[in-house]
Amino acid sequence: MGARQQHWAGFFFIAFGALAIWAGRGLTVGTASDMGIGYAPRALAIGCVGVGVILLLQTLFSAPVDGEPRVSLAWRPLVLVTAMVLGFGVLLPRLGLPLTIALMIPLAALSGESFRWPTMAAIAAGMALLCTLLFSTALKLQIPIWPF
Amino acid sequence: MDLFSNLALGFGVALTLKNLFYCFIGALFGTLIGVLPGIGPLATIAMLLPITFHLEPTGALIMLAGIFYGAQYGGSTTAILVNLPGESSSVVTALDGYQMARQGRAGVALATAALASFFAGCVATIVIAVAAPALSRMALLFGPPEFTALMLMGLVAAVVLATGSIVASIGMVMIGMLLGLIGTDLTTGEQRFTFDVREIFDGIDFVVVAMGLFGVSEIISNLADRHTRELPATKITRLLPTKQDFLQAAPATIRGTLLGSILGVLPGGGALVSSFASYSLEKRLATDPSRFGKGAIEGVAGPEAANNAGAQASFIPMLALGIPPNAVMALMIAAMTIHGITPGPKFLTDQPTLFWGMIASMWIGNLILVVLNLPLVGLWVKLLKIPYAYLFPMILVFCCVGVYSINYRVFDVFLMAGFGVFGYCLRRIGCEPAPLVLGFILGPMLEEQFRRTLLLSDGDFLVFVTRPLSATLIGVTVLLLVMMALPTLRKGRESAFRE
Amino acid sequence: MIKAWAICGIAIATAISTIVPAAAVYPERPITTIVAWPAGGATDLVARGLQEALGKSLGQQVIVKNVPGAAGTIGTSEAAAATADGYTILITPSGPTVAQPHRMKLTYDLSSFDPICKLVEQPLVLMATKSTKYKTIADLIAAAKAAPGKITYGTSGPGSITHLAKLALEKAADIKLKHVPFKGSADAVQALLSDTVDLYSDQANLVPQYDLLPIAIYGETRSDNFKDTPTVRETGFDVVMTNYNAIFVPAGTPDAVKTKLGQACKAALDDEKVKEIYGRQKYPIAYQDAAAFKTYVEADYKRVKDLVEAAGLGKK
Repeated sequence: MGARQQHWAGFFFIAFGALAIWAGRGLTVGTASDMGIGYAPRALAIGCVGVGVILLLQTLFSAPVDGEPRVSLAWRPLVLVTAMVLGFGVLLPRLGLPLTIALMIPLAALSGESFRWPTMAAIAAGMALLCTLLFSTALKLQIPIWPF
Repeated sequence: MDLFSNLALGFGVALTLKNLFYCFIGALFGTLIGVLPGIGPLATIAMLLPITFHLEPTGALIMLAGIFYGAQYGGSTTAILVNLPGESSSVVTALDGYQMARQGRAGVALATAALASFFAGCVATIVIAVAAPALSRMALLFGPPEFTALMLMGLVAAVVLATGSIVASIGMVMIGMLLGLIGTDLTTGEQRFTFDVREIFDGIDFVVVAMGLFGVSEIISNLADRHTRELPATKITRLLPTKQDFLQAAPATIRGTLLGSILGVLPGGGALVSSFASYSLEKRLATDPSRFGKGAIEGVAGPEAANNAGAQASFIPMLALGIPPNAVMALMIAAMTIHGITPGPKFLTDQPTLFWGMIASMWIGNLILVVLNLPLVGLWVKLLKIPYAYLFPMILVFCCVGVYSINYRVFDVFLMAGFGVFGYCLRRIGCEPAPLVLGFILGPMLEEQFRRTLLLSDGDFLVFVTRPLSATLIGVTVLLLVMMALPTLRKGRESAFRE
Repeated sequence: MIKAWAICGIAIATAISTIVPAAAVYPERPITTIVAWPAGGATDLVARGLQEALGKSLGQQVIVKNVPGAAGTIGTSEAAAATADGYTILITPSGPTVAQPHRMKLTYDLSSFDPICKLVEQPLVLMATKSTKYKTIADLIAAAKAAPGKITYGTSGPGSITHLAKLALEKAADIKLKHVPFKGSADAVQALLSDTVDLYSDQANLVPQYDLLPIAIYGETRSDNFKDTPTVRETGFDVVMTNYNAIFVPAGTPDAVKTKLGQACKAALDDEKVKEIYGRQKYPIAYQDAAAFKTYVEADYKRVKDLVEAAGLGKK
């Protein structure tokens, strides 16, 4: 864990802990020997904040390392992969399994990896067929197959 | 000796053509669904239950048991190949197994996992045959204080799993526990952190969390640093372990088997605790612990052995007492009930052919599995040669279908996307997901047992130390903590002196 | 042009004529049975045991659809929201229909359903290990009066039928027992066998399976399996608590369809195969027709409401 990462991690733990304290504000806390349902959440949330504070304090004492990359997010794959998964969830009940898969796989073209369209199309069709046969015909899962 | 005549009886049952067929079908089907992420043995056995209405009981149970341990074999395959643990126990295998795959040693990792599982399965079968009645009593020695202590021990071991900062991994365990508390509280029936979303009233499913944090976020980061990523396909050299690999893996396998056979008997996550207890143990014993998390073969062999031994050992309390130590065993009991057989203290004397037939079939099943899986290793490794542009959408499709099929709702698919983004962000800030996942599983169990302990003792904490078994477990936990803290303290001092 | 219109007209007429009698020949397509629990659970097995025979007597395929979650309320909500045409039916135990409406904010209530019939029913049995100090209800009540809140009673979760049995017993006998909830009956039995809890109540078949002592039966009559065990009612406390599975359809389903379904269910329960499957699983068949079951379930609804509210388990 680099110093920059640790900096962010410190803030993350504090934020998560604070969020948990806020979300659990209505729960009965009680005492250690007579725990309410809010006891464990409160203790863990405070623990999270504590971990965050320690991590931040540690960064104050550790010397900054030269050349450590900045903490950044790769937006393109992040958005693409999320969109593919969300797309599956949105389309499946409306279009059924094979069409959803056939539409979802070609989205991978946007990933920036090198590929060829005929192969991609063949994989999309093949996966649509394979998954339908495997999950619906063989394993008998209750998955919608057709849009009608 | 009695044991031999019993085993002879068992093999007589298990080696009939029909039962061999059921055993093979079970093992094959188990491997298949184990490899498919998200579709676990629980769902499969549940789906097959109605079919067993029409089968005769011995064959049906041999098949269902085959599915269970076959899935344990298959589950490690996706964990190693694409960092996709479909089951809680494969989380540990993924740590070093996936790193081995990235170094071009996927074949070695898969073969090691299969061989370690085979060894563990054989030993565990013998343990069941010899000691089932004696070991089953162990499950009855465990009351709420003992379970609490066991869960604490597991959580301490969970911290060891991470390679980075200990403080951060403690934080990750706590976040995991918080996420695990989402849902309906057991004691009061009230909702916690559910925000009136009915889909999470029963809590978030483990598979959703694991597939998001490991599988989906792994794909995002692979695509993100594709320029620096070394393609595993170019480097695969051999499929089978070398002599040195073998020498490193063998002791770990034996220790893992031992841990799994003992802890697997305990209800409520014993088998799971054994797999990461084994990982922590290997990391402690290693001359160079820094290899762990970077492709150490002991980190695959030990937990795989523990996991498989634990899975088999979990049959002991089910067969000898009728107490199911996990959800799959509960379904096995349902399967027996369908046929009018009631597992319980009288099962062994009432149904000797069924009991010994099942035990013999487990050994045969393990043999079938290793024969089935070793040749498959080459095939699985070839999958990694598929260019990533085609491979990653295929993995995503399997993740989505798997998660959808848990409860047949798209809500879980959306949730998995959320955990994928969450996991990717965690990686960017240097936090590893493994401790989080284990906190997620153990946290709610710990809270449940802890509150039950204090409810029964009227708030008296002394029960933890006045009961010998729980006192021992707490002692071991404290020892683990001290051992864990010592090197850190020493290192801290060293670096302080250096500056 | 006229010809085209004529064809259209004939086509529409044909379409209408196929729709109109269709209602009379219910069912003309497969029927979906919603089970609000995962496959392999007790309710699922009741549904799947009936599936084939019900399909045969209706002349259509019956599909079991598992919609698990939130103590059965997710699947039950889905059934309540389905079109009231008889093509979606619900097989359920009492929890989601008579208990959960008092405990959670739901999109449905008991009145969202029309009962078809009761299928199987068995009384809970109050049980303990053979080494227990409480061999009879009288022992138990005397001990509980001497030390209120000390005797432990395991249940499979707050608001579950096992918990309701404890609440009803406490209320009738005016005693206080310590409630120890578990995640399900397997965990509770482990606790009973390891002497973590004193008492538990659940289905009768657990008694021989784990070699337990049946203290009393929460039923109307004694059980054939243990003739020496009294009912709770015999000991002077009017408590009856049974676990039943029943069939419901969304409210507003046409009467003709309900009658047809009711007859088909009756025929299916008389089927030898079903009798054998239920017999092996120890589900006693307890058929009750729509009218009788309606009275029954409505009384149950009121009784559970009082219990839940008195125990402070109601919705906030």
